[in-house]
Amino acid sequence: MAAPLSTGDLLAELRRRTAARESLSLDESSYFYLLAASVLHVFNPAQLKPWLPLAKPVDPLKALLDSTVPAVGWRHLALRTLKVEERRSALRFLWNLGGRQMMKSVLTINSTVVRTQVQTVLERWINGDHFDLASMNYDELIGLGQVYDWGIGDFGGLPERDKFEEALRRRSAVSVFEHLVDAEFTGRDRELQVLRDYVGVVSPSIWQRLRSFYGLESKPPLVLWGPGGVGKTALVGKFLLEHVDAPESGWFPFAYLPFDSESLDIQQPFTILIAACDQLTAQIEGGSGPNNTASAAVSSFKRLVEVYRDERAQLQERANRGGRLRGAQRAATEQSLYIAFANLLNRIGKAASSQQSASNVPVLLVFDTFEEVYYRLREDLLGFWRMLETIQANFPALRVIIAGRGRPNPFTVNRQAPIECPLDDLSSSDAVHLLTILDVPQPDAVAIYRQIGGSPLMLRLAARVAQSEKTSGGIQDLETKKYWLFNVAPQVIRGKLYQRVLDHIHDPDIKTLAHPGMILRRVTKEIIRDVLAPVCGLGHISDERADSLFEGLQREHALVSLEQDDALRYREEVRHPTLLLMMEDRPALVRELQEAIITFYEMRPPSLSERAEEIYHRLMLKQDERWLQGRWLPGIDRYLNSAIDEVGAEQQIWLAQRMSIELPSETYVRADLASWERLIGRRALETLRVGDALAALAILGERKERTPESPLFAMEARAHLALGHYEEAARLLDSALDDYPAMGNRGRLAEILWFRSQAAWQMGEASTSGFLDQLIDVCETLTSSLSVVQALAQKLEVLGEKNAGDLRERLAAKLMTLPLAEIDKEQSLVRFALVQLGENYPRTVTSLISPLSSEVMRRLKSTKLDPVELGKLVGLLPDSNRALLSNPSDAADVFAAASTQPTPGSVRVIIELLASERATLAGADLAGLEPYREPWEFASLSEAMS
Amino acid sequence: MLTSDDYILVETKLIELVTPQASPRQFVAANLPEWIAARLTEGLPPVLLVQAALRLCEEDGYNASPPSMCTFLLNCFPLRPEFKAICDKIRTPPPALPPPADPFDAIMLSNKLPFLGRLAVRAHLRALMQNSPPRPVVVIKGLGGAGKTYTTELINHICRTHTDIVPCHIEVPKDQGISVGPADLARDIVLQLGGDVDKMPAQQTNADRWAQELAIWIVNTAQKSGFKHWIVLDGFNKAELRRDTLPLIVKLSLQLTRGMASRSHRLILTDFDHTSLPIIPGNIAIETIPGLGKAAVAEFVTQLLAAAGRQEDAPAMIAGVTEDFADPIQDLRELGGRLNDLIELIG
Repeated sequence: MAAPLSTGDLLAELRRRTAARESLSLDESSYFYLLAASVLHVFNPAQLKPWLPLAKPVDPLKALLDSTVPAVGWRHLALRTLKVEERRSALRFLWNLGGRQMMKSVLTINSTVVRTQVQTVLERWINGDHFDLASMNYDELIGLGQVYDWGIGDFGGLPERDKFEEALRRRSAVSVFEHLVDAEFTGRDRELQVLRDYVGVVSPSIWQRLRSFYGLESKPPLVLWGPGGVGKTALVGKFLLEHVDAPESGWFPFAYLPFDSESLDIQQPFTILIAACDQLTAQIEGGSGPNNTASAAVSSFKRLVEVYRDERAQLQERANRGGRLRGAQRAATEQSLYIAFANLLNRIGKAASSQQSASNVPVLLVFDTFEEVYYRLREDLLGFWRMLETIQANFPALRVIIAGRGRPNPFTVNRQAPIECPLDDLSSSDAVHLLTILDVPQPDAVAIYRQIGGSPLMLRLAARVAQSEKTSGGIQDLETKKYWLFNVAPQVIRGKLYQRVLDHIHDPDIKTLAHPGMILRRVTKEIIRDVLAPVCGLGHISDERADSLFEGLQREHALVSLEQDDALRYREEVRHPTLLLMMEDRPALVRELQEAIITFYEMRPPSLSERAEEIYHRLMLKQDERWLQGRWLPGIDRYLNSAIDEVGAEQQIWLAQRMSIELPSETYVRADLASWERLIGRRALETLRVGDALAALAILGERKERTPESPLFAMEARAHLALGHYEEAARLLDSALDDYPAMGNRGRLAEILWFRSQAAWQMGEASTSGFLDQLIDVCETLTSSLSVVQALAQKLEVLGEKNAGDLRERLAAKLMTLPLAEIDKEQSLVRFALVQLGENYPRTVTSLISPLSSEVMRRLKSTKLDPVELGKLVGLLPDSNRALLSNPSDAADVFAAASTQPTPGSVRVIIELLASERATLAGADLAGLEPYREPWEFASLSEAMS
Repeated sequence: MLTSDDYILVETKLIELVTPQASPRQFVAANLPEWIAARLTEGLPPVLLVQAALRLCEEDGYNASPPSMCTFLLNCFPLRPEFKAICDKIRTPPPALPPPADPFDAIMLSNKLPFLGRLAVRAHLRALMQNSPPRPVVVIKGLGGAGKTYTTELINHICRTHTDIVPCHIEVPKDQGISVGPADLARDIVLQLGGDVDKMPAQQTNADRWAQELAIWIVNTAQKSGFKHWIVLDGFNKAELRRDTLPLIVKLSLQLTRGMASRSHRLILTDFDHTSLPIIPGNIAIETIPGLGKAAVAEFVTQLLAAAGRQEDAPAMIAGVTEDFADPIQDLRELGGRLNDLIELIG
């Protein structure tokens, strides 16, 4: 064993290694490998040949390990790529040595070249090709972008970087909606003009003279609506494509926001703004001048989003500074964000103006697939409409297009009703033209049009059928009229057309399953094996056969898409009309399959998607409510959105008690009291969530009577308290308490007592303490200790220093029983409770402070404490803690020093710093009541009733 | 045990060696200690077989002497000096500093890399162990070199103790983000989750929906693996993140915070603009790494030298390790390198 190094030798070796790291250089052999790799985007080191033969062989991986990184996307082939700075320097060396010719010769040394888009672009450059940016697709432009980053632009032969950036911006914008673009788009001239007029597009000749859009005063949204398949999305795509790159008639920034995207949540409007911001940024970023200003505006908006997120997160906390005004503060925070977004749009509009030397450029937001949210309670959309109102009030040149099936429920934005543009079928000439574009011979096209009318979707389906069948005189055996007079419903015809398309599936077993499979909405291998195959006559099939049928079905992209949990889900536009047909033609099969699938799901462990399917099929079978009892799980509503239109009215009412669905007003009138409370409670909660307590009271006031354990008592009290109507709240709650059943829901009782104590406290009544005592007694019987912690902490705050009795002891004991998960979930409450506990419980504080530390320090970093006060706290620290202090003027550091090794002396400092938050429980709901709530309360709970 | 760089070299070379074997599993098993070989899963392709073997050796740690990792590497590469050098580095266990009860509190990781300070990051990561953490997504920010990527060393260390968690780390190489599209990212994630990259959904639909399908593919793969996965996406900042890759990360963040997946898998993003995530405010743990105070480094060096019986060297070594650094130290990668050198040199 070697002798240990002396201190001096140790230090010297350390310094030697540090210097070696700083000046990593390659030997000649490694450099030859580097040069060979420099003209390869990605490569396998094991197969890499050096530029020149080596005198002594070296392992290329070892030689290039420090110069390369794993190539993302190629790990499965163990490929690596050069670090950019290494590649730049190697390419420069080759260029100086012999230009393109040299690089070409280096390229020939390694014949195994992985053909990536970047590699292709590099080789095109090496070959001296010309790059026409206008004709390059997105992938090619991306490849070119990487080549620029390698410094190739310095050697010439590439377009100017600015022009490339602009081309990439345009292509990025197109890529967002490229899928909407329909090469066979036909007709819709009237509707296109409506869109142009709405946005303010002028004719090219006027644009050349004025270079301005017109009529940019505030306008309400334009709503495009019509049945599925009528071409709303294609129309939007056509319009956007006209203007995304239109030097002759002006372009405008836009964001395309479909509500069938998981990323958008209409109840959380900020999700819409961040998606819009990302798209708009791509269209204007880069460049100088106003573009720079717009980029700065984007950065500023993003910073505001960060602030907004922080503020909202804090307002959601049970104990916070907002107090009873937290709802109003939340609304104010939202408003600030919307105004910031409007400012961003202003800058973006100006950047777009500058780029095309124009003025008055609007910004367009397109909201597509709005049917995904139409069905929801109007209260759920309140936040969304308010967002649009605020943005438009601050940026009148905002244009909003909303596209969806079905006429929207009435709404206004800034007191203006929307402009409606319903889409009808294509005219006869346009319909026939479309069919001929789709390769249907003219005479057949006329006949087909007469059969099925002018719906673009049906025309396309018919064209697909025409590809496989003879269609002279129309599609054979397609019944479009009953009794020669009455038109068969378009949905039914569509279903029949889909059936004909399905008939052309090659594998007979898949064909057998594909159609009835649509009854099920969702298909897995197990469902194929255990449900579809037996019911559809395939009998018992092996796991392998089920696998191959599943994979075969997965390949039918027009029918299905892959979902989570490895399931296939039928596309609704295909499924719905086919299902209607099946329900009419084969009701027994439909029923048999639905019953079989219910049995299948019943026996499975609970998962949201599967439970949603089970409930769907039970509703479709119109099963009695008792079969649905206990089957609901929080979070399954999003899987049932698409089911609402399919189920009956009674079933819709059942669903509306658990998820957000707008029902006809007479439904509320006719509902029994308990059902009405569930239906209305959700609406009131959502209204409270957006901070409109008055509107919540109006909703709740639609009926005066209540069930004895009604959840509406607490809601109504909460609204009164938010408005400062303490006496009304007290009266209401006293009445609730008087009639509360002895064996009633303890959680609800606790909630009523909590709010009653709040009302009394706000009015300065002596009864506050008595109500809190009752509350504490009830909370002791609840599942979670969080409730009693809150009640005890509140009582201590109310009492102040006097007459605390054994309250602190009880609070300390309860805090010590809290599991880590609950502490983490209710950090603000625990911090508040510790403040009320005070400095004389060091064991409790010490044991709880660790899970709270990171959040406390984060807050203290952004808190400006009075330096004098902070200095006093530092002075209170024991020497052992003060030794850990690195920055005495930083409150977070002081906290860290106090809490890293807490001592009885440092606990006081910890408490003082926690108290600097000045949190209060005013306006908060009672913690720990989840087991006592109904599922519909959870959707808006965390923000409406925190 | 292995540093990230050593792991890459070892894994790559092993894959090269194992792939052409007539029976890769038999070959690997023959070169592993018996008790490790017995735990090798059957039916794995070479890449996953090698990863599994390495993981088992890491888990075995210093239970045997020499460590299983050394036995495996030297059996596979008996004449290769670079592997002997790696084995020499890992042959002895890390210095005997007082071991923390909780791997999240470790200051000396099992690969002999120090990990100092960063209390907040540790707390956020520890919280991810809960079944339903209130903040299931962690975003770590900070200046370059401040240790964002270094955080993956702590995650790897944690996963060596909590062996039901398998880390998955994808780092964007500097200035090469433009080459990392959604398909590339999804493929690499699925590979590390043990999935079949050939089953990637083709882009048959619009970019948004395809990103959704890719995210679902990733989550499905994770669910089927039987492990919990902590997915670390490193360096997807504004400069590097491609426009069409962002939707995939957004969708993945939503998929991993919902349903059954949210009980098992976690997402950690370093150097990422979290304002692009449509996750409810309050549900993301965000930490900005401020750098490391010299006092903390000094304390660690003192402990290290005391454990090696060389406490008198502490002042000189502290000066040597921290020279040329500002306070707090921002370049944690270089600091880690110097501390690692010191650990090696004092044995």
